[in-house]
Amino acid sequence: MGILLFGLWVLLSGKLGFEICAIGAIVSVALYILACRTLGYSLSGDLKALKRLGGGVCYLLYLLKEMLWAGLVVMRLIYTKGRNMEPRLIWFHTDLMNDSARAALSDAITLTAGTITVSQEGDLLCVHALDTSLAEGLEHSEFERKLRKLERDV
Amino acid sequence: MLNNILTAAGLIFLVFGVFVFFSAVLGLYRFDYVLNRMHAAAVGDALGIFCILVGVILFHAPTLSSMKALLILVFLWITSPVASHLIAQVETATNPNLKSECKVEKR
Repeated sequence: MGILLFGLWVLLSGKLGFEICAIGAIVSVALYILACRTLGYSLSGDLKALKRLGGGVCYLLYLLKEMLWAGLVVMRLIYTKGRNMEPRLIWFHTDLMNDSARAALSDAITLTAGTITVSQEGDLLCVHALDTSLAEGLEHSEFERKLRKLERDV
Repeated sequence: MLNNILTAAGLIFLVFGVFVFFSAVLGLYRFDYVLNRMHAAAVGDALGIFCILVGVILFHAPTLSSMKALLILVFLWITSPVASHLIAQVETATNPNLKSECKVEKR
């Protein structure tokens, strides 16, 4: 997390230099210590998260690809189907055990155009799909499989 | 030479981004129910914003400050699902004729 804070500092500064890096390092370390004491962050927790970095990056790249592809699909539907859509409101259970994994799944579903997570109560998700074609295989999505894999690595 | 290529690529992304936003606005008129219209708006949120900001990054590349556009993208993509989720939840909770607008199914 300290490295992320340092990266954010440099990015927001807009240029690289000794002064910026030195001040950024001091501020990042101070903030990291504060986060450890007040928000429950720890070095061991960060090292665990670092081990899942590869899987996390793969998941985010897959999410990006799906978001862009879904955008194109919905654009096509706008021009071809218009008002002749067959929207669905689907309730389904997810196998994910972890709350953060469930939240990530809900976010991924909402970020991909064509599906919106309406509610999530425990393992029960309610998703609105713009068309029947977009609702297929929603309960066994690749997102869920990737998140389950990440969950197992914890 | 590199600057020209980056500018041309940026321009292509910007023009396509504008087309995506045009399609999203058109979708708002073509669709007839609030939840359906949200999907049209989501196209702008995801694909439109991505194309416009990648275009902006390419226009100003290769500078560190152009990467700030990536932060805009990240924060937009973190916050927009929360807003969409709340709007959709309010609609489904308050609309008594929901079943006439969309088929409800349990899997």
